[in-house]
Amino acid sequence: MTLADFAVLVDASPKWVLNTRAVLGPGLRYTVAVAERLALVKALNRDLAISLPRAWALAGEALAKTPDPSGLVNFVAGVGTANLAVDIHRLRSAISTRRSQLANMPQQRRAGRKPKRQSNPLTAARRYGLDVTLLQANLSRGPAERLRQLDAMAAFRSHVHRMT
Amino acid sequence: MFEEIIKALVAAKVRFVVIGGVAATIQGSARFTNDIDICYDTADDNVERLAALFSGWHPYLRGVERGLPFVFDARAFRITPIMTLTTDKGDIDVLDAVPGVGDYAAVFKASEPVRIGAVEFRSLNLEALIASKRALGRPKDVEQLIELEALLALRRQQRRNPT
Repeated sequence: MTLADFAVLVDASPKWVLNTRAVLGPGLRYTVAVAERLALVKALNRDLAISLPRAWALAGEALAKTPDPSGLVNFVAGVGTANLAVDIHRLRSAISTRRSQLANMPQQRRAGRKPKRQSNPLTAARRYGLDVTLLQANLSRGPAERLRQLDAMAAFRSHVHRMT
Repeated sequence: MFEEIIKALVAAKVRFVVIGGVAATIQGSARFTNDIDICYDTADDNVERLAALFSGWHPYLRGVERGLPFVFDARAFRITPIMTLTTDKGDIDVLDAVPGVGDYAAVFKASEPVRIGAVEFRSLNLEALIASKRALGRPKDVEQLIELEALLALRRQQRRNPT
């Protein structure tokens, strides 16, 4: 997992991950389990102003406990004056959702320099191998017709998908 | 599939703008897409309506293994505003903002009304689609950018020479 992907899982900036890693030690690996713990560390640090090392210890404690049926883990923090309730189900659900986001919306940008903007987009499209007449034919249809055509193609695709 | 989803969103009074591949098709793109992307208004009432509608379609996360912890309700949208879902009605991506365009208010401003029969909804315009593809800059976006820019050039040509 790359730093950028890991930062998406934690819902933090890559810079925050690197700074936190510098405080907590370089042993932190870019894994889903660590992302889960670090997401909780971030919430404890941001919302309750708990220091990063203390938040790291509390997050480890919370995640090691078995949540109650509603998904909550209650535990005593500090010397016993504060009681923390962590919604473990929601935390894990958020991590799953971000994993799905990474699977469908990859973060990586195209390597190298940005392509030069062509002075004539139609020439650029033809050079790229696009059938410009197809685009012209599409423009002669209305938006509703274009959407219905796409719908028909999607239905055909799922029909073939079911058959194979 | 897409038409049905859009009609259901309109009927549920969800404030949304169609973005991504379906918006590109509406603008004239010839590329195929298998999912519909929408940008939604993050106001509480709207998120409640969106969550209530999608809950009936048995949503689950796309591209990950079955059985992962997944809570789907209005609160989930606040924790994770971007969701890539698979539902009974098809694959749907929901986003609170569009890179290169901005949040829902900016996306709404950069959208245009589209009518299918009696249903009217909003879809991202061609210029904003180009801006979002340019901002994303992934290999597949760069490829699509060439097509969208060609479409914009064709549209301008048509406007100059309507015959």
